[in-house]
Amino acid sequence: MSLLEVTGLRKVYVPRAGGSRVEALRNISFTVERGEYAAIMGESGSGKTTLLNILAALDRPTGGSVILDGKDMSKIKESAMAAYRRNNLGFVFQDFNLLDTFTLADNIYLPLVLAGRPYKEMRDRLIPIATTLGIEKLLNKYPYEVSGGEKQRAAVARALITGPKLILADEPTGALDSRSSDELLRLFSEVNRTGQTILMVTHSVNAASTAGRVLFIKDGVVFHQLYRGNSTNGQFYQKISDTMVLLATGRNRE
Amino acid sequence: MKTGFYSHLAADGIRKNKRIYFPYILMCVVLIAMFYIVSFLRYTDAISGIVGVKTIRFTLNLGCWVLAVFSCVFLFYANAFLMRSRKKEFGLYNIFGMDKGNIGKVIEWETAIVAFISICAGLVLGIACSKFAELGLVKVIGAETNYKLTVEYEAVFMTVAVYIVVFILRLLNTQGKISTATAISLLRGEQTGERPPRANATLGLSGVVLLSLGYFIAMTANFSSARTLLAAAFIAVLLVIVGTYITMVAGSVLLCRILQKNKRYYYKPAHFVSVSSMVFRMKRNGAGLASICILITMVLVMISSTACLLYGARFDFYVDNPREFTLDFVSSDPDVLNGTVLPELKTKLLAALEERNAVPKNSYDYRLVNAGGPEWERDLYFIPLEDYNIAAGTQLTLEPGQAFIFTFGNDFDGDTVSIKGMEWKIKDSLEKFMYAGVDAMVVSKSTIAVIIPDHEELTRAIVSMPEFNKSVFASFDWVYDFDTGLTPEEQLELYNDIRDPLDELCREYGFMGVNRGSREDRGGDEFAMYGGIFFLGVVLSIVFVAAAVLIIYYKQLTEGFEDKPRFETMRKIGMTGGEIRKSINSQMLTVFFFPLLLAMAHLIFAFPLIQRLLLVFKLSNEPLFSRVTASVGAVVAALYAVVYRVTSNTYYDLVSGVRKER
Repeated sequence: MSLLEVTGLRKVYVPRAGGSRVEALRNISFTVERGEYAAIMGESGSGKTTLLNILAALDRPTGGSVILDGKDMSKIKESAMAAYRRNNLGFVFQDFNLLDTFTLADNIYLPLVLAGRPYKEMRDRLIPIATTLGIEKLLNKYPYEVSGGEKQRAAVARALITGPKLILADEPTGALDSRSSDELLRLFSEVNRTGQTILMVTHSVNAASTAGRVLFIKDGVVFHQLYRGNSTNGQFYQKISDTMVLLATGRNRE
Repeated sequence: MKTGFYSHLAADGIRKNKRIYFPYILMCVVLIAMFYIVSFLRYTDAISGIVGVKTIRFTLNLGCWVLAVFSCVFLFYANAFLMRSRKKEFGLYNIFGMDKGNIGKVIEWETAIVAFISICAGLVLGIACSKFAELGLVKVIGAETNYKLTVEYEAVFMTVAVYIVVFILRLLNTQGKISTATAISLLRGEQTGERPPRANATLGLSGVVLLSLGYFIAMTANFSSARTLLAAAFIAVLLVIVGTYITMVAGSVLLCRILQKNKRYYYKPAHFVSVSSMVFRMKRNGAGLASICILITMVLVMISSTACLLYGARFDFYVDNPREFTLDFVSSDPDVLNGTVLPELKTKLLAALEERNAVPKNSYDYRLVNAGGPEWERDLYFIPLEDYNIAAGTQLTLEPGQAFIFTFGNDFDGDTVSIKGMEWKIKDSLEKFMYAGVDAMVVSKSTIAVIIPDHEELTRAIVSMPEFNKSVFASFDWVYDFDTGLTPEEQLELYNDIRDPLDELCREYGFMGVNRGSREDRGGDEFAMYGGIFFLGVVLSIVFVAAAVLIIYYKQLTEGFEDKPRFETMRKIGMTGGEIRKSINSQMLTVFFFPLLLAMAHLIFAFPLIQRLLLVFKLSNEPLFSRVTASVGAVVAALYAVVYRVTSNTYYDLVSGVRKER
C-alpha cells in the first residue's frame, strides 16, 4: 500500500459575490510511496498551492479523496485535524514561517511543545537533527539574526522533529539564493536517504531535479510524470527542462 | 504640487485605513470629551457652594493633568501601531518620487484632519455629557438648577490648547520616525523583526525600591496639619506612579526572562507562545499596563475615600443624632424639674404630637442640669441616676456622694467632681453613654456628664449659691428625644408645625424656651457637601474607568492585528483552536490581572493615608472604612473581569479570523 493515495481530487472555488466559478483542480490522481522523494511542478495558477493546501488538510476538496497511510483525511473531524496534522505531517514553507518571537531552538520545539512533550525528550531529539542540518551553533539566535538559508534549515528541523510520515515542502527554495538553495536541496536528499518521505511543490527545475520523481500539473490535472531512474541530477535536469518547454509551448493534452 | 493634492492623499489614507483609524479617532474623541468634562467641573459655578470647594478644584485640576499626560501616552502608543501599518504606503510614495518633505506634508495633513475631527467631536460630546454631570452634581447638593446647556469657555480653551499640543507632539514623533527611515525599510516596515529587549535587573529593582519607598511614606506619614499631610500624600503618589511604570516596563521583561529560564513552566503549550511573545511586547505593554494600573488605583482610591467620607459622616451623624427629633426644654427655675410640672408638660406634648399624627417611639426622657461658669474649666451636665438608668436601660447604683462620669473623649483625671461646696466621689468612668453624644447640642467636647443620685439637693444647692447667676450659671432642662417613623418630608413638616405649640407649652409651664432639633433638618447641609464630593469621585472614576477600558480595548485590538499572522503560522504547524484559545487565556490572565493586583496593593498601602485624610474631616471609623474600601475593591474587580471577558473575545475573534475582514 502506498503512503499517500490521491484519487480524483477536485476543487471548485465559488466566489461569494457571484461571478464565475473557478475550477482550481479538475481531476488529480497520484500516489506517493513510502520513502519516496517526489516533486510537483507547474506554472503559477496551475493549482499547485491548492493541491498542497488540501494535502496539508488546511483546505477541504470538493470531490475525490486523500488517503494518508490508510486513513482517509476527509473523514477526520475538524477538531482532531490540528493534532492529526501535527503528528503526521511536517511543513516547510517558502517564507519560512518562523515566529520572530522565538529563538531558533524554540521555533523547532514548537510542535513538540504543542504535543505536550517533556523538555528533556525535546532536547534529545533536537541535537541530532540540528547537527545534520548544521544549525547547532545558531539555536539560541532569533530569526532576524540569521540568514535566509539558515532560517529555512531551522524550518526543516521543525518539520523533522516530530518524525512525520510525510514532509510537505512548498517552494522551499523560493526565497533563497542559489548557494543556500543547493545546500537545502542536498539536505533534503540526505534526509530522504534516511527513509523520510518528502513531497515538494516547486517551479524550480533545479529543485525538482533532486527528486526521484516529478509530477507536472497543468490546468488542474496531472499532465505528465517523470522518473529519475538511473539518471544523474544533471541528466534529470535536462529531462525536466525539456518537459517544461513542451508544457510551455502549449502542446495540448492528449 | 498643489496643496489640495496632499490633503486629498491624507484624507484618502484615513478612509482606506478606517479599520485602524476608526477606533483610534474614537478613542481620541472620548479622551477629549472626558478632559472637557473634568475641566468643565473645575470651572463651573455649580460647585462653588460646596464646602471645601478649593480642595475639590485642586483634585479636579490634578485629574485634568493626569488625563492630559495619559492622553499623550495613549496617543503615542496608538501612533506606533498606526505607523507600523502605514509605513508600506509611505515607502511606496517614496519610491514613486515623493521625497521625505512631501511625505511629511501628507502626515501633517493627516494629523490635522484627525486632530480637527477629534477635537470638534470630543468637545460636542463633552459639552453634551457635562450637562448630565452638572445636573447630577446639582441634584446631589440640592442647589438650584436649570436645564440650559452651559459652556465653560475657559474649559473649551484649555481642552483645545492641551490637545493641539498633544497632536503636535504626536506629529513631531511621526516625522522623526519617517525621516530616519529609508524607502526599503519603509516598504518592509511591517515585518522588521524587533530585537528582544534585554532584561535590566537594576532598573527592574529600582522600580520596586521606588514603590516600597512610596508605600513606606503612605504608611508612616503622620503630620498634624492637613497641608503637610497632603504634601506627603503627593510625594507618595508620585513615587508610586513612577515606581509602577518602571516596575511594569523593566520588571515585566525581567519576569518573562525568569519564566523563560524555568523550562518546566516555559515549555508548556499554554505558556510557551504567550511568554515568548510577551517579552517582545512588554516594552510597549509595560507602559500600557502601568497606565491601566494607575487608573484603576485612582478609581479605587477616589471611590473608596469619598465613599468612606459619605458613609463615615452618615455613621457619625446617626451616632450623634440617634433619634429623629430632639427637644430640650430650658428653664432657669429648678422647681420645674421636680413635682408635677414635667408629667403634665409631657402629657400635653404627646397630645400635641398626636394631633399631628406623630406617636413618639424609642424615646430618651431625662432631666439635665447644665452648670458652668467663666471660671470653670469645664461645663458639667448633671443627670439624675434614675433618669439615666431608664433611658440607657441600665441598673447602675450609687451611694449618696458618689457619681459616674462620662467624658466625651477629653482627659479627666481626678477622683472627685465638685462645684462650690458639693463634692462627689467618682465611682467609675462610663465607657459609653446612653448614646454617643449627650445630644447634638453638645458643642464643646470639654463637657463632662455627671450622673448623680442626689439630684434635688444639687438643684437646691445651686440656687442657694451666692455666685448663682453671677459667676455660676445653670439651666434646668428636660430632654425628650424620640422617633416617629414618619417619612423625611413629614418629619420636616412636623418640625415646622410643632414650633408654635411648643412655644405655648413653654409659656404655660415657665420655661425660657425649647431647643428643637430634627435629624432630617440638620442632615441636609452636611450630606449635601459629602454627597457632592462623593458624586465628583464617581464622575472622575467613570472617566478613569472609561480611560482604562479604552486602553485595554485598543491594546487587544492592535495586538490582535499583530498576532494574527503569528497564530496563522501556528495553525499551519498544527495548533488547534482550543490551544490558541488556551495560549491567549494564559497571556491575558497574566497581562490583565497583574495591573489589578498591583492596584489592589496600592490601595491597601494607601488605606492608612486615606484614613488620616479622613481624620481631617473629623471622621474615624476604621472597621467601617475597611468594609467600604473592600466592597469598592470587589466591585471594581468584578467590573474589570467583565471588561476582560469582552475584550479577550474581541482579540480571539481577530486572531482566529472568525470576524472576516471588511
